[in-house]
Amino acid sequence: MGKRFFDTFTSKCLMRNILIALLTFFLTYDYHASLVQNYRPFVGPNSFPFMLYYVITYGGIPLIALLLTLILGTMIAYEKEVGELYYMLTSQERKGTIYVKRILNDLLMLLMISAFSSVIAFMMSYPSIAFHRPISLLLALLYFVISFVGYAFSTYLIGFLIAIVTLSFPIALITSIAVFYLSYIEIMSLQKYLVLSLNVPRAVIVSIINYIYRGQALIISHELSFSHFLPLIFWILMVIIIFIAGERREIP
Amino acid sequence: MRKEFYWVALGILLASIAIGLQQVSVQRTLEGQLGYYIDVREGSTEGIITPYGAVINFLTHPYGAKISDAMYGLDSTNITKWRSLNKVSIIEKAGFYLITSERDVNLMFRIEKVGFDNWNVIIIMTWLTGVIIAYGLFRRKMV
Repeated sequence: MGKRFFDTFTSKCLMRNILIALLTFFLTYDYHASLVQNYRPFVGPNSFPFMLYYVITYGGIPLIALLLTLILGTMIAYEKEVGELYYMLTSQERKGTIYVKRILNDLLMLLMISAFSSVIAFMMSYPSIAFHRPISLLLALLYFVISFVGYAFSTYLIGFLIAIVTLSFPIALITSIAVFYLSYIEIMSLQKYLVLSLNVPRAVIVSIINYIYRGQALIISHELSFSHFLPLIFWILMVIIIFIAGERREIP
Repeated sequence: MRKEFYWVALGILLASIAIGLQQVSVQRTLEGQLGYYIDVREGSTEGIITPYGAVINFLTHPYGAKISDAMYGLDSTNITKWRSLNKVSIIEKAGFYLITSERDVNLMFRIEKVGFDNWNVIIIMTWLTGVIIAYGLFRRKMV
């Protein structure tokens, strides 16, 4: 059951695996750069809980990792084009179920990569803190995993949706990168939307730090509004759309 | 999933090498030009030194035994004295530092060494991921 649920077939796609290696590289590098604040002096409150909070939440959105996630979303079109998606054509299951399985499989992969990268980046950045206070390592892991899922999963779903609409890898790639460029760089709407998703993990980290270091730390928590949960609503809507579109689509 | 783990290991290997190379570059620049920054604030018991490499031990209690031990064990000329609390200062070498403020609050700390202290982690990660990748290649008879 587990084997069928997490699709082992995806491991065989060389291009996807190279993308995973690149994603791991850029994520580890970006997390490390944000944790050491680009080697600039740390200016801020000097108690450990404050330092931990400001250091962890310093970084923005890693752009290259985001772009790679977008391409990862469009990979389904590539696999269909080169005939690697044969199981889709032979399977008795409906396409919607296959798409959702694939999305879960990729989400698991993204979570795993993010978790590995954050732990390793934190250990490389602050080895003494990581070994003396392992809770800081767990907090960093939690923050990076939640925030990465917040902004990467959204772009992944955009790429995935464009791929299953066009079913052509070059077209999906060009279209999704163009959409990404326009919405992220030109209009800035995507950037604003992704920044919204960062407030949720920040609020989580603030509440945990305040709870653990009660008496030492009093970090004012972020006020969460409805708009901060837009990414969550967006994912659910996108997955539902993909599922319904897949179920209604005729198998070619 | 297991096969994808090898590719994740490859990504981590590349990142470790890149970070290591960047650190060499940063260390040379900072050692040659700037030294190391430390942000010490009044009443603080812990701090962070940036770039993060230098190992810092705060001897936090101003009138505690540790400071007197340090003072007895050392010639006073070995102690660098500052009058600059709440200020970012530059550390160029390892040693003892004593900071005094106008409100007569003393803070002493020791820098064990100047330089990045994460080389062990980088070397271990590089070695470990290298072994994982090599194992994967041998297992598939690609080498």
